Amino acid sequence: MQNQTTQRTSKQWVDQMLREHYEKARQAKAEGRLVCWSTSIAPQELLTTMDIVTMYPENHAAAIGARRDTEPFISYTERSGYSSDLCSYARVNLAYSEIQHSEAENMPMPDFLLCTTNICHTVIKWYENLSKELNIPLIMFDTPFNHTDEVQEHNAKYMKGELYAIIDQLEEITGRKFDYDKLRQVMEISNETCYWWKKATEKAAAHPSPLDGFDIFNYMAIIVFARGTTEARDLFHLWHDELEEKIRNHQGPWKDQEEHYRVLWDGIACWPYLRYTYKTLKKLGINMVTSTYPKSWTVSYETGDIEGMARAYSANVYPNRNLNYDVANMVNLARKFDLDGIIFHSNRSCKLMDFRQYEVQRRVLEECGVPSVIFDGDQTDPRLFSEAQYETRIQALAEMMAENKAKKGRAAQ
Amino acid sequence: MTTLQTMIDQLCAAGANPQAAIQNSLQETGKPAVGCFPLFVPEELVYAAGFLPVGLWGGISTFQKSNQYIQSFACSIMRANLELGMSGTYDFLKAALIPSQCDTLKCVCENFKVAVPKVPVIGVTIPQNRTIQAAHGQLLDEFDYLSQALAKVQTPDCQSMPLEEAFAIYEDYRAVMMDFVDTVPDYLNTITPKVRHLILKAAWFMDKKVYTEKMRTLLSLLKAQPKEAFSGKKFLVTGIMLDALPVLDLLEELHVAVVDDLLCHESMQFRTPTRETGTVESKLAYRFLDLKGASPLYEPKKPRGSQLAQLAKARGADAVYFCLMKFCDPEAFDYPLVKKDLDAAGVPLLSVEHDQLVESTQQLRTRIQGFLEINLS
Amino acid sequence: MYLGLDIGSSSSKVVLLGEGGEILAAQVVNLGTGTKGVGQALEAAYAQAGAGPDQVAYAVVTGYGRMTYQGADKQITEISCHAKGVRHLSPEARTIVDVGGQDTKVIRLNPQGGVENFVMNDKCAAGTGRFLEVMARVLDCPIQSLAQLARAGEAPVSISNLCTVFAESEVISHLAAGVSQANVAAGAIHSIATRIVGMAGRVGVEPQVVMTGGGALNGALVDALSRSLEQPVQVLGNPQAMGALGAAVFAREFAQKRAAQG
Repeated sequence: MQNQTTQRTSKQWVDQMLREHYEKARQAKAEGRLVCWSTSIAPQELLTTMDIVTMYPENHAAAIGARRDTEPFISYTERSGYSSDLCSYARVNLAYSEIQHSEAENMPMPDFLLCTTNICHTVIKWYENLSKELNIPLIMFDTPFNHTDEVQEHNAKYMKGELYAIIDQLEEITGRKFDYDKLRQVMEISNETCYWWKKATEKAAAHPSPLDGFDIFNYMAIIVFARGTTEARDLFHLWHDELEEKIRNHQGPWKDQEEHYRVLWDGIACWPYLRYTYKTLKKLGINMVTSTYPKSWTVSYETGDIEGMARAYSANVYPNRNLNYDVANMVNLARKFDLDGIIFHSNRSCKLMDFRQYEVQRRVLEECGVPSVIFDGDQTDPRLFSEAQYETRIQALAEMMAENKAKKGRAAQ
Repeated sequence: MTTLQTMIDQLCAAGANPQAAIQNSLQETGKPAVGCFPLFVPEELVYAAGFLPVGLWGGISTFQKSNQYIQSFACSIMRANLELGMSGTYDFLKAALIPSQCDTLKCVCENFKVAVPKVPVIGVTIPQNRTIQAAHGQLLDEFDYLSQALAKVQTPDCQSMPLEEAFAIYEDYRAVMMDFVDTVPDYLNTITPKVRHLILKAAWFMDKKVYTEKMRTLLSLLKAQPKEAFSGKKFLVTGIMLDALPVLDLLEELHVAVVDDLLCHESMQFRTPTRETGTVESKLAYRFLDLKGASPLYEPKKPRGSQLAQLAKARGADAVYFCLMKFCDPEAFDYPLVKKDLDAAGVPLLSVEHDQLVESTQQLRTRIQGFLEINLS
Repeated sequence: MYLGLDIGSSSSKVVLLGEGGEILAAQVVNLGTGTKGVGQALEAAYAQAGAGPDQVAYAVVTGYGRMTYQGADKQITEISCHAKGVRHLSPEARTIVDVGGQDTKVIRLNPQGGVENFVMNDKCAAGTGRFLEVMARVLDCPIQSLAQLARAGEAPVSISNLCTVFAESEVISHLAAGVSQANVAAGAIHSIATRIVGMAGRVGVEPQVVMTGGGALNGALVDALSRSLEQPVQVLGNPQAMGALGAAVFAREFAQKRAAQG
C-alpha cells in the first residue's frame, strides 16, 4: 500500500482525488453531514474548521462542460426563463439544482450556501436564486471591488466583521462552537498548500517549460476543493518535485513537440473545447506557461490573522482589483515567464474578466512589447465558440510571435 | 399665469433635453457639477460639498469610441456613458461618482479613469452584505472617504453646507416625490407614461431644491384638478430604467398607463423610508441598507416578486411590465423568480428585453398588443 | 363577405370568408409591407372569389404592416390571428409554432382555444426564417429546395453556434472540410428545430402541435421539429395564410357582434 502511494505520479493522484471527491461527498451527505455549496475562492478555512463538506458548483459546471454534457442543463434554464446571455456556470448549476443528475458527476445537494463576491457580483444573484429555490440559508462574504490600488482600511474592517458574522452563522447552522485552534491549523495547511501550488506553477518559468500548461487547468480543480488539506499540500509538493526533475533533465512540456512559443492564457478555459484549443496551440509549438486565472488561488496570510485573511481574499483575485493591478500583474508575468504572446479569452460568461481586456492588452503591449489576440468563446456553453475564428486568431498570433523572434534574432547578430 | 400644463411642459422639456437642462441649472445655481453614475450613490454628500449632482444614465445608442474599451455585450447605459465621456460631453464635470454595484460598473469605473482623463473618477463602495452590523460601519467610513475625495475637487464656486442641511433638502424632495407618485394614479390621462417618466427624469439634471419647488407647484395644480377616470389598462413597471420614448409612446397609444414604478432610475431613488432616529450619517447609511427591490443589491430571500405583487394590488395595476435591460445580469437573474412569485399571486407579467433606447418598436408592438389581447381583454 | 389581411415582412396574405365561414379565396404574394404585394394579393383574392371590395362587410388586418394599412375596420396581432385561424381548422390544436420571416413565435392555447401564453424570439435571427435564408445562401441553394436538399442528408452535421454570423462561418468550415451540402443543410434545419424547441419549453408544449408561417412550407423543418418535440407536428391548409385566415374569422365574428348589437 505504502509502496503504491509513493510510486504514483501527481497526475494519477489528481485523477484519484477527483474521483474520490464526489464519491466521498455523496457518502458524507448520506451519513447526515452538512453539505455547503461555495463559490470557488472562498474562506474555506472556516468551513474546513467546522468539518463541513464543501462542494464547488463552478468546478462541477466545468466538469460538465468538459464532457460536453451541458445541453440538457442549458436548455432547462432557458425553459425556466433564464436569458442565454447569463454566465453559463450559473445556468448549468441552477439547472443541476433542479435536475439533480449529470452524466459527469453527481454533486450532493447543499444544506446551506457560501457566496464570496471577490470573483464577481454575478455569484450574488446566482446564489440568491439557489437559496430561494432550495429554501436554504445563504452566507454572504462581500469583498468590495478595489478601485484603489490597495484594499481600503474601512473595507478590511468591514470584511473582518463579515468573517466573524460568518463564524456566528456557522455556529448557528451546525449547533457547534467554532474551534479557533483548529482554524489556526487549517490556515497553516492552506498557506502551505498555496505555497506549493505557487512554487509548482512557477516552475514553468524554466526554458523550456517542464510543464504542459493546460495541466494547470486539471490541477486547479484540486486547489479549488482541497486547499485546506494536507493531501493537496503533499500533492502539489510532489508535482513541484516532478517538475524540478524534468528541468534537471532538460525535458520540455511534450515528448512529441518542441516548445517554440510561450504564452499566457487570460481567463477561464473553454471547457467544451479544451482539447481543441489545446491541440491547436500544441500543433504550432505554443505552450501555455502561465495564466492569470489559476493564480487567484494563491491566498496567503499570517496564520490566525482574520483581518489578513479577509484582505487576502479581496486582494488576491485579479478581477477584484483595478486596472493598474491587472496591467502590472500581467507585465510581471510576461517578464517572469518570458512570454512570447498572450491569448485573451473574451468569455461571454464573464463580463468582469472581459471588460478590461482591451485596455490591459494595449498597456501590456506598450510596456513589454508582447503581442496578443482576443478570441470569442465561453467557459461552458458550446454554442458561443467558433473553431474557425479561434484557429485563425491563434495562427495570426503565431505569425506575430515568429516575426518578433526573427527581429530579436537579427538584433542579436 | 402658471398653469398645470406649463409646469408639465417645463419639467418634461428638462427631462427630454438633459444637456440644456444641465446648462440651465449650472447658470441658475452657479455651482460646479459632479456626475453620479447609476445606480445608487449618496448624492447628499455631493450636494453638501456645494456641487450640483447630475445623473449620468446613458442616453445615446450609437457607440464607436467606447468599443475600444468594452465589448458589445455590455449594457447600453454603460456603453453610452463611456462613449459620452470619451466624446467630451462630460468635460464640464468636476468629478464622476461611480459605484461598483455590478460587474460592468466595476469595469467601466476602471476604463473611465483612462478613457476620460478630464473627469476625475471617485469610486464608491456600497456594501452588499447589508444586513450585518459591519455594513453600517463601512458606510459611515465610506462617506468620510467620499467627502474627502469631493473636497479635493472643490472649486471656489462650491457653496458647501452642513450635511444636515443637504439631507433636509433631500428629505423634502423625497416627500414631495412620494406624494407625486401617490397622486399620479388619479390623473392617468394627464400624466401619461411619457409625461410621468420625463418629469421624474428631470430630477437628475436640476438642483434638487429648485426641482422640489417646481414639483410642489405642479402637484398642487394637479391636485386642484378633478380626479380622472381612466379606461385603459394600468401597468406597474419594474427594472433598471424605462427611458425609451418610442416604447412609452407605444404604451400610451395602446391605452396603457404607468400607475407606479419600481425602477432604479425613478422612484427607487426616493421610496425607501428614512429611519427616524440616529445621526444624519447613520440615516443616510440606512437609506442604502434598507433599500429594497433593486436587482443589483443583494437581498436575502429575494422579496422583489412579492413586493411587486403587493404594489400592483395597492395601485390596482392590471399587470407588471418587466423592462429587462439587455445584458443586465442582475435583472436577468431576477426575472424567472419574479415570474414565479407573480404567477402565484395571479398578477399578469409582461417582460420585454431591449437596450436603453430603441429604434423600432415593430416587434414590441406585437408583443405588448398581443399581451393585452390575451391577458387583459 | 369577410376580409382577413396579413401584411408580413416579406409576404402579403389575403383570405376571404363567406357568410357561413367557408373560405372563398386565399392568396399569398411574396412581397411584404410597403410594396405592391398587398394590392396584388387583394386583387387576386377578389378575382378568385369572383367578388369586389364593396362586398366586404368587415375587414381585419394583422402582421407587421397592420399599423400602416388604412383599409381595415380593426387591427389585431398575428398572435391572436394565428391562434384563431388554427382553431378554425383544428379544435384539437393546443400549441402553435409560427416560423415567419422576422419572428418565430410559439403560442400555447387553452382547451377553449384562447391564447394562454406566447413567446417570441429575441433580436437574434437564429430560429427564424432569416436563418434559413442565410443558410440557403451559403449553400448556394434556392430556399424552396432547401428541404429537399436536407432530406438527402443522412448524417447531419452539428451546428452549435447560437449566433447567425458564427453559424455561417461554422457552415462554411464544414463545407470546406468536405461535408456534403445535404448533410450541412440537414444540420442547419436541425439547429433551427433545436432553437424552437428551446423557446417552446418556456411556454410548455401540449399536443396537438400545429406549425404555421412560411417555415411550415419546409417539410424537412416540420419533420425535424416533430423529431425534436417527440410528437407529431401538423401543417393545416395553407400555413402561410393562417394569420390572414384568423383575421378573416375575427372579421366575421366582429360583424356578427355588430349586427347583434344593432
